[in-house]
Amino acid sequence: MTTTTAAIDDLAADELARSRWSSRLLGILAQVGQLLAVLVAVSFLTFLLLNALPGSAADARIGPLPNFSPEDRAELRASLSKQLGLDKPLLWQYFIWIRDALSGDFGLTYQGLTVRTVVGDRLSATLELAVTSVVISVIGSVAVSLLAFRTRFRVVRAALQGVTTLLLVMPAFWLGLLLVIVFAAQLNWFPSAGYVPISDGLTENFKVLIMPALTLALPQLALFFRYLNAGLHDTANTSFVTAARARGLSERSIVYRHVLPNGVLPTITVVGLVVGSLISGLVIVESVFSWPGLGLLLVDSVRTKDYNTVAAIVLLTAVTYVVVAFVVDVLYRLIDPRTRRRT
Amino acid sequence: MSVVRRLRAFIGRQPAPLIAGAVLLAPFLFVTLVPGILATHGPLSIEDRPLLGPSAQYWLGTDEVGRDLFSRSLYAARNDILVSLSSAFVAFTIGTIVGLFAGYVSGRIDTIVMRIVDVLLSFPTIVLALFLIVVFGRQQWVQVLAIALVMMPSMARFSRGTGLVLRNRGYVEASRIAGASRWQILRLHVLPNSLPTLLVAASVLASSAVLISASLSYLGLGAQPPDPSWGNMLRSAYGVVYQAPLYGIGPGICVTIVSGAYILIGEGLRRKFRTDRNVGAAAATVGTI
Repeated sequence: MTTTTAAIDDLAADELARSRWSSRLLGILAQVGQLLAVLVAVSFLTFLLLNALPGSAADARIGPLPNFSPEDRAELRASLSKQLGLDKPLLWQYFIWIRDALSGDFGLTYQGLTVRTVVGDRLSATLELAVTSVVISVIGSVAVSLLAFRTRFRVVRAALQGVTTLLLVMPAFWLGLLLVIVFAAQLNWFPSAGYVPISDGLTENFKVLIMPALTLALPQLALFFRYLNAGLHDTANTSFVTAARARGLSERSIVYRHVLPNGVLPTITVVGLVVGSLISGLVIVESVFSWPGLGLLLVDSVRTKDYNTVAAIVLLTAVTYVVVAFVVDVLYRLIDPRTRRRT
Repeated sequence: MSVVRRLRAFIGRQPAPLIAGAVLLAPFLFVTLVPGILATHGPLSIEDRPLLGPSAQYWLGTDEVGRDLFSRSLYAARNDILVSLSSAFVAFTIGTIVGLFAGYVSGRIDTIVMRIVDVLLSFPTIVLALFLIVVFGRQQWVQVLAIALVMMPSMARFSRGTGLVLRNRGYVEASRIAGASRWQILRLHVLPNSLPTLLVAASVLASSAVLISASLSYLGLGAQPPDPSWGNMLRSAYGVVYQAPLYGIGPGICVTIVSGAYILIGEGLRRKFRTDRNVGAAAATVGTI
């Protein structure tokens, strides 16, 4: 009797596990489908905006070419229009554009270089700045929120709240200017702008990196702090923390083994969102510190109306955002089993 | 009861952040309407030698061509407040209508609207605004619409959440059973009942709008020189940071106060309407990321 019920239980559990797996797989597949749909829509929108620009794409490819007579220009434009397929329907043009874009071909810049090399040259500087700032903000925010959570002094907590709120309402270029005033103009510790590649020495590179990285990292740190703070306090009020305390666990292990791992969960989504849209901050910070990355390239291309480069960077950043959001979503499900049930 | 006492009692009932925000914002709104009264000099008139330090005559010093920095910081409010408030208004109105509708009707329409929102959200704010301004020109109304458009999706997503919640409330259901049309329910029940939370989000929206518009003019795509804006003044401040370190203090503090004042007003409204803390946290992300 008991063995049969146990067997039935086993079967039921098996069935449940299988259905859970298949539904999870289906859920992931549906998500991948949605991801692809969003990516197509994003690229199409970029293409449409590019087409809404005054002047045709043929003009954009030809560039200013001051030595050409109007007749020569017209002829060149006509032949290029045909070559680029501009006489074809819009949807067909989009397919050509996206096909080239997928193989890394975004056309030429105004100086006649390929967009691919220009963007590629700037990638390492941007990545260096982005990674440094995210590392600072993530580690810093965890440290600061633990300090705020564990401290016995209300003053410390209030001060941290105040400073982080202030950081959130300050525009990045104003924060950067304050850093420049103090550390470049007054103390003369770091140069106010410029770039030195890592290959020219780590210390020199660090000197130019630290201020832009902080300008980018501090508002992020403040944002993460807010979410971490809320997460830690919410977790501290749950029954499993009370239970842990009742079992006589030390306050230290309650904080590090129960409150912290659960309290950081909501922040993971926010970190993902911030990482995905980091380019917005990079645009400002790189212009402030003349940092030769994608953000500065974007602003410069916008000013010189180098549309092919603009389109390439916009598409690149939008795709990064979508992919990062997707990865974070999947990651979240892996880390937190409670969210799996919803699919 | 006299008017003054009644007014004092009214103010006394308001939450502290709301009062603080209003007090901080008031001078800027005043200056936007009548800049000439508080300003000590004209915004474009060249008064003295360039890059003078703060003095009794020029409270914040003079800029690179000798114009009064204090007056320019005040006159800049006209541009920045106008652009940020109108773009926040447009984003709020359209975002709310679209979001509430999508959340309330839910189903297929909701899915389609939310996918469109997803697509728009995947363009980082500044980047999309930059792109739009390049495409459509640097006029002020283009700036307003560009900023509004980049903030709209997050507002729509937020209001959709409230629409989704209200849809299952008893009074909405009762009204539906009584035969009210979809439009009537939205106008008479869903909108009024979600307004408190939506207003909290609106103040966050205004704060982000200030930051985005200042960023755009910092990048040279907002107000065009010689017209002052906090963004383009801060840009000039970078160029002369070694000669005149205090140049950027005025515009920098102005942006911070205005964008902070909106946040305070939002927090005050949240307390006033006794909205859930989680709603406040969700509202805090509107327009920022």
